This record gives sequence, structure tokens and C-alpha cells, in this order.
Amino acid sequence: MTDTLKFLVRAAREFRRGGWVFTGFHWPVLAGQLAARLRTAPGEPGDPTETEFVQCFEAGAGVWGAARLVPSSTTDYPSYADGLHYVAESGDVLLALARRFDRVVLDAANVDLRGRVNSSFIGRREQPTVRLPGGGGSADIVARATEVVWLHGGDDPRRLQARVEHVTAAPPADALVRLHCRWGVVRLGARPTLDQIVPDADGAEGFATHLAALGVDVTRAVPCPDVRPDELAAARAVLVDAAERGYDVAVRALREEREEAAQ
Amino acid sequence: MSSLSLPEAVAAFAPDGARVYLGNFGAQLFCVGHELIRQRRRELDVVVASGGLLLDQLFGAGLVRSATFGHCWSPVGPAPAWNFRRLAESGAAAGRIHELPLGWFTAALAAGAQQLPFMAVPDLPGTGYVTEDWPGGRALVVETPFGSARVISAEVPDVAFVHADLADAAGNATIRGPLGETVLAAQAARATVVVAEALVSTAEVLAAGVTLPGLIVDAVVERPGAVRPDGAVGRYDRDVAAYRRYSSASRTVDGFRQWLRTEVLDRQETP
Repeated sequence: MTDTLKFLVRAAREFRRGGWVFTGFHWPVLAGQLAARLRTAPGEPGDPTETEFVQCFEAGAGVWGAARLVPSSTTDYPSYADGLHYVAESGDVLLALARRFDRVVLDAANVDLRGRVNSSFIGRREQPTVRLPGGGGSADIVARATEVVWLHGGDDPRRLQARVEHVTAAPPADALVRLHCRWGVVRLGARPTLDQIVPDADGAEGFATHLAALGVDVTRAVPCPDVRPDELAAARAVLVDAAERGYDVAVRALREEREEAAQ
Repeated sequence: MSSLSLPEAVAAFAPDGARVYLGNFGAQLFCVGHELIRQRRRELDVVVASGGLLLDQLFGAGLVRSATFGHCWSPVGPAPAWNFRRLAESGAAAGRIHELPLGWFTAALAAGAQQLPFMAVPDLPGTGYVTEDWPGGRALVVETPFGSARVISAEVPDVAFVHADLADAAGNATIRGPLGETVLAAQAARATVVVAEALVSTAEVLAAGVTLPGLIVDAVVERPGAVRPDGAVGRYDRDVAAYRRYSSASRTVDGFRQWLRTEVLDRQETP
């Protein structure tokens, strides 16, 4: 549970750097909500004028501040309608604005050293072993991005691979591409590097070993900056609300917490 | 301009073999999909940007001849769209699905709206959309004196069912929330049916703002709760529990059939 919370806090900091942030499904939604909550006082409604970042969704939305409810997805319009001040079409966001976003933050279930993701098929396309959901707007937005932040919240280091089997989205060669996971931050591209590591995270050593075997330079990693108690508390509150809003990862994390407490 | 009940609109505008766009991006017209199922439509070519559970239910009910979409899953959870997944993993989806990145999807509708054969789109080098032809023959590179460009073929649905918050008797309609590809779909389709939460006076629509002009609308249906279990801005929230119940039920074929019987086939639209 703690590793998950710290991961979420670090992901939220990518939003708190400010600017216009394209926000994808799943972990990015939760990270965006955490960032927005940390920006406003507890119990206070989000003040749009005090928000240092704007989240944009592929449906054609620009949202200021924290949502009324944790959005069950970026297509959960009523949950964030109060902060919806830019209304557009998907084409505006995915085609016309893609190159202008300060950052693109997306979920990555399967990612490779070049920063490419597979969210389409495992196995042959004609009859896949596992049919994944498909890419939605990820290919459009990533292809024009200047900075991509992939979020992987899972606990299987093998989801970071030398080369994904099918490529759903591929960043341009000159984009800054980083992967946040529970064990640290990896810079992806022609010369992949482990930039930051979370030394006390469960499995961090195994992750570094996995990266080294893939040819990633792990020698220059520095410890991730500390996470404050108030950030952890806010992250836990987001996960509690996210569990109510149907997020499997939140339900799982809270169950783990209960099990840890019982031991 | 016709004001119809939902069963009447589905019967009139979506016959067997029709190419049917179902909106909206995140406020999906489940009521239209369910009526298509109840009316036993067959051989539909379904066009839906964010596939979601609506497309999954149409796959499961056996209505779909082909599907053009951006992705297909339950955004709540998130969880697989189990019918879609079973179909693909059995090999039965091969050749029947046209998978487009959503930017290309909107460009295809823009071409259709402007009565052009295709629209140039940003290339996606290295992705399966290009290297493995996931769009299924709909994208290629053309050479022109102005340079080369990847293009996507026009999308022209026979009918677009579009969700709106308000509509008047002349078809002028107000959409609340992000627009997705909905307006383009209404412009591209040969016919457009607005399914509105409320049919109101023209003055009320004008006050709220016209998103879809009556000029491109052929019929209006008043149907409160049209997008449940999705949410409608200012009216009702997404029903997360219903999403989860469906995901759980549809994990198996038998579970899906039971769900379909109790939630769709045993229910009727009020005329």
C-alpha cells in the first residue's frame, strides 16, 4: 500500500509542475485529482484561479481544479463538469493541440525501452491470446508530444520490456519520455537510464536487476525525493474515493492495507 | 422534422444492414443500442468512437457485421469488454473490425461531413495502425505535388444517433459536456436522430446555446435517462455499480445472456 501511495504522490508531482497536461485514463486521472486536491485547502472547493495546471482529456475537455467526484474515467463527464471550462472536440485536442501540451501523462500497462506501449494485442493480431482494449487517442497524442510521462502502477517489472510485441503508441525520437513506477523513474529512448530509484520500495533491487539485464544504465540513479506525510494522507484519501468510483487498483490497495494491518 | 418515440426512430432509421453511428463519446446512447437489440437488428456496421460497453453489448447480442472504433473496454475498473475480447480471441473478429486512433476517427468523419473521399491525418510511424493495418484498409499514403500524406477514408454513417441535453421541435439541440466526435458525426451522416433528455421550447434551447442546428437533424426523440448507466451533465451521475455488475455478469457467455434477458429483452421502451 505504501509503495502505491508514494507512486501516486510522485505521479501527482508531474501535474504540479504546472501547465497544460493531457491526461489519460486510469492512474493519470487519479494523479491529476491528487495534484488538484493538494493545491487547494482540505475541505475547500477547487478555486480555478489558484490552479497551476489544466487537465485536458481526449473527449475534448479542459478542466480546472479538483473534480466533484473522482472521475471513474475521463469520459465520466458529470464528475468533473464543475471544472469544465474548455469544451472542445476530440479532434481539437488530439490533432490540433497535441504538439502544444506541456506534458502528456498516460497509463502504460506494457511499455518498452523506447517508450512505446502495447495496449492492443498479446499474440497474433488475427487471433490474439489476449485482446487488449486498443489505443483510443493515445497514438495520436503521443506521436506529437514533446514530453511523455508513462505511469505504471503495477508490481510486475516484466511489464517493462526490451520491445513490445505490438506498438499501439510511439513517441517521436526527440521527445522526453519517462516512466514512473513504484520502484523509480526510468528515462526511455535511445539510451534508457534509471534516473531515480525508491530504495525502500518492495522489489526495487529486483527492478534494477531487470533493467540492467535489458541494457538500461542503472549506475546513475539517485534516490527519489521524499514524500511528505500530508501528501501520503491525501493520496490515501484519493484511493478511498477511487475505490468507491470503481477503480480496481484502489480496491486492491486498500485490501492490502487491511491485510497488512491484520498481520 | 419528426418527433418520434425511440422504437419508432430505431425502426425508421436503422434497418438491417445499416451503417449506424452511436454517440456520444462519454455519454453513450445505451437506450438506442438496447432498442436495436430488442428489434432484432442484424448485420449492422457499427461506428462508435469510444467502444465501451455499448459496443460490447452489441457484439454479444450478435448485431454487428463490422465495427469501426477507437477502443473497446469498460472504462470503469477498468475492465475488459468481455464479448469483444471473446470474439477477438476466437479469431471471429478478423476482417470485421476497423480500429482507428481517435484522431483519425474524427478526421474520417470530417471527410464525410465535407463530402471528401478522404482526409489527411498525422502519420503514426512505427505503430500497428501503419505497420499492421489495424484500420483494415482505411488508411494509406498518397503522393501529391504538395507532398505525401497519410490519409483516412471518409466515414459516412447511414444514420447518427446523437445524445443532447435539450432539443426543440425543429431539431435544434444543446449538448452539455465535451463534444468528442459527435458534431462531426451528425454532419457526416445521411440522417441524424437527436435523442434528448428533454424536448423544450426553442427559446430554452437558444438560451442554452445551439450545438447542433436543426439544419442537420432529421428526427428528435425525447428520452430522459438516455445514456444510463453513463452520466449526463447536470442531470445524473454515471452509475458505477451498474458498470461493475455488467462487467461481472459478462465474464461468461451464460452470464451475459442472463444479463441481456433481464436488463434488455424483458424490458420495453415506453412508446
